[in-house]
Amino acid sequence: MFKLRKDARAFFSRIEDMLSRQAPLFDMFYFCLIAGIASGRRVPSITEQPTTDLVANFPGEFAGKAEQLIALMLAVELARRGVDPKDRPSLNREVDKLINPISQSYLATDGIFAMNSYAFAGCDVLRQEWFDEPPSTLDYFLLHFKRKLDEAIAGNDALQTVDLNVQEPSGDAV
Amino acid sequence: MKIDEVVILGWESEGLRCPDVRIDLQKSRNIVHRVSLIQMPNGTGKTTTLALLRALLSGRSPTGTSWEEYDIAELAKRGGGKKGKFVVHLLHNKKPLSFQAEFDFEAGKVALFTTGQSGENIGFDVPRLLEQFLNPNFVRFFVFDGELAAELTDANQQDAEQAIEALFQINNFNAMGDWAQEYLEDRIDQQRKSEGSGKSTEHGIKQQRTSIRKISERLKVLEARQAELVTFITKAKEKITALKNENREAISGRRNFKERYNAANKKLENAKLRTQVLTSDLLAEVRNPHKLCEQFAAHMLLLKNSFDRVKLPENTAREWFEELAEEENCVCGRALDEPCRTHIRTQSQRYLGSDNIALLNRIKGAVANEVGDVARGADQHLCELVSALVAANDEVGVCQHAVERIVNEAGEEDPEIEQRETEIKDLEAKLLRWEDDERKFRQPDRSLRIEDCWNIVELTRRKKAEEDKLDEITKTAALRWKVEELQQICVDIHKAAIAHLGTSLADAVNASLEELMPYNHVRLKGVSTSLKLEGKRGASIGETLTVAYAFLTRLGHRSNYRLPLVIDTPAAPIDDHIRREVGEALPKLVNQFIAFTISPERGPFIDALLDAAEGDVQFLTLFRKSNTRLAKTLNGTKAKYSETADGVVVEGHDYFDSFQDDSKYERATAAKTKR
Repeated sequence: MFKLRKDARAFFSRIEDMLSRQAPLFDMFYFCLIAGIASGRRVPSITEQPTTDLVANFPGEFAGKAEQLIALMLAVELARRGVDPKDRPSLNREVDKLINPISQSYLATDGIFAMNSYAFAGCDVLRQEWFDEPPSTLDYFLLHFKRKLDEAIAGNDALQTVDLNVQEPSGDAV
Repeated sequence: MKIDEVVILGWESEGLRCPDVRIDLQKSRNIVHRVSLIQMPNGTGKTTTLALLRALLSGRSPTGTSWEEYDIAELAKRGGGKKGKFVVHLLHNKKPLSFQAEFDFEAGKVALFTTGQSGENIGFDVPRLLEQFLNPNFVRFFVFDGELAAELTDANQQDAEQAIEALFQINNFNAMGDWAQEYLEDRIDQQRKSEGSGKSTEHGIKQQRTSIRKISERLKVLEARQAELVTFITKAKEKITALKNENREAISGRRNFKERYNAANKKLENAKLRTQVLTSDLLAEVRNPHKLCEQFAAHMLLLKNSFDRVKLPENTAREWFEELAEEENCVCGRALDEPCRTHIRTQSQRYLGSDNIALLNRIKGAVANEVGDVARGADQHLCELVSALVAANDEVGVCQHAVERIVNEAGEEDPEIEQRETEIKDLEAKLLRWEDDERKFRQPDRSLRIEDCWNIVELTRRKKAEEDKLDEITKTAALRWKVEELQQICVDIHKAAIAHLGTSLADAVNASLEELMPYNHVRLKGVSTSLKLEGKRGASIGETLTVAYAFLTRLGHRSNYRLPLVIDTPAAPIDDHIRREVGEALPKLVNQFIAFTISPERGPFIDALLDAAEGDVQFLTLFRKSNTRLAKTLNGTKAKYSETADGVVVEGHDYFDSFQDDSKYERATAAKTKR
């Protein structure tokens, strides 16, 4: 189950009505997740903070974006675990721990934990570093969020090591 | 239908500010006149008499406080003695009942006495059946307080609902709910005692009850505050809209501003709309992580590429190896023994399951479709939206300044516009604060201490949890459920009764108003906490009074209670053409009508009273003996009168009609009140 920190909800309370009609809480979770990934932060445990349980799948506007989000999570998490991208058995093993095709979210327990732990840390990033106070309008939030995201990525070496011009290898792609 | 009846037989006053008098409203023993008119010039103690009547009939001081908090020296006769007394005599269902106050001005104390069937008791000992009427809130309805008329139509007051509740005893439903709760608590106690529970269970029960009580108190405070904030917020929004509309009209109404103002507003609206559309588009774009920034797109592409490079997922799935391990022979034809099978099964774990393969392929496909070949420029569209939104916001700012400039210019010409703008800004600032405060009650809050928790839903949940625990300890779960059901039924009945009675009363009152004020078009839209007038127009004092009379008399007529109606100068504020109608209506709708009148009210009003009461009208004129001019009128009069040390009461219609008080003063007062 994805989990949203209660103080995250409080942070977004002024703009909650402006977010997704179907799944505003998942919008909040997503922003926390992105903030955590961009800053390279995660928490070792998610039991200390009071949380709201979200759905176990990707709801609303995210229903068609499950694979994208999982791809992003796999990318950062495999890198964090130091998995050699050329080592197929290791890749196999680690991917197997993170995904579960028969779960509603397509994620295994480790995969859900990874997303939650980035989101948990991301909540602190939003509340304590990126914003001086809870946002009162959505347009201000989005503009400021993008600016702070760019700054965080610029300072995150792990995300900077990639070549933006990398192309698909020729030959045996799917 | 059993009718409960109260009539006022009369009262006595001695040693107080008003003249010493004995007023007897009976036409024969225990039978009162239908109408009693008491004519008193100003300065005769009319206000004091009415205040004392309310006080004695409610057990509280003339100001509504307890007698201990009241300075009784205000009631003392000027230059008078050390003691005073006021007694009011009633009949309740034909049985005598009187309330007496004895004042000791030296000691600054008052002693109350109640005399009924059982003799004299010390204190204000009202019979239980009369408790709901003889109290400070309700007594104003039948010893009519002129301010009540305005309060009845004030949406912020609840007098109308209180009157309905008292007269029709609907508040008994609330009492029923309370009684059920007491019964439950009692059963919990009994359960505890009969099971001989040990110290720890006793302690547990006590703790649970304390916890429940604390949460209930906290909830009450929060709910009241939330309701208050919701009212503030609603009214502020309404007020802001109204003020903005007024300013818009005022500015548009000025020829030199109209065109510019309308054009600037239109531009501002368009700019805001553009901002909204861009924000919505940006939000949709942001939900795609690869479009949010190039590095995300690059890492997703890298992931896909690395899978492709190592040929993940494989073409062969884990299941294939597991199935192979079950075969007699391997695909190469070699016979499989147990060690081989074990090895195959172990190695099969290196391969993904077929479902995993499908999912991985979908992930790779999503990355290929969404990200494409190259990550650079993945966030270009988002960046364009950001730039457009920034520009749109700037445009909104420019347009807003343009509008504000025009408003300020208009404000310089018309200070009311400026005043309204200031008020709007002030209200908007308050609104933000109130909305922030109100949000607190709905925000997730798991504070451990009840005193720190603001979320009403959370506290309600906790209260339920504590109650369930208590039920478990005391085995009263089923009973609690029944009590809660009963309480809800009582709440629903109360609400439905008020609504139903309100509607039918409104119809009845409107029928009266149709007779009393056919041309004034003052009608009720409904009756709930207050009397709701139709339309936005306010009503004049006279019209409000007429509505109040119609309401009170209809209310009394509909209930099982017959109470007297005492009114001070009932017709003075009312328009002449309505006085006759009011005079005709009042005696028919109450069993006893007592009015303190002044001479300008003589004429159509009193003539109408006489007709309606079929001649059963008592005429009394009361004045101070010290008024020598008035005292001289007694010389040679055939009228019956009684006198005390400082007061005179004269009976009879002729004297009443011919009485000339200090009328210039009276007429000026009546005209002022009417306005």
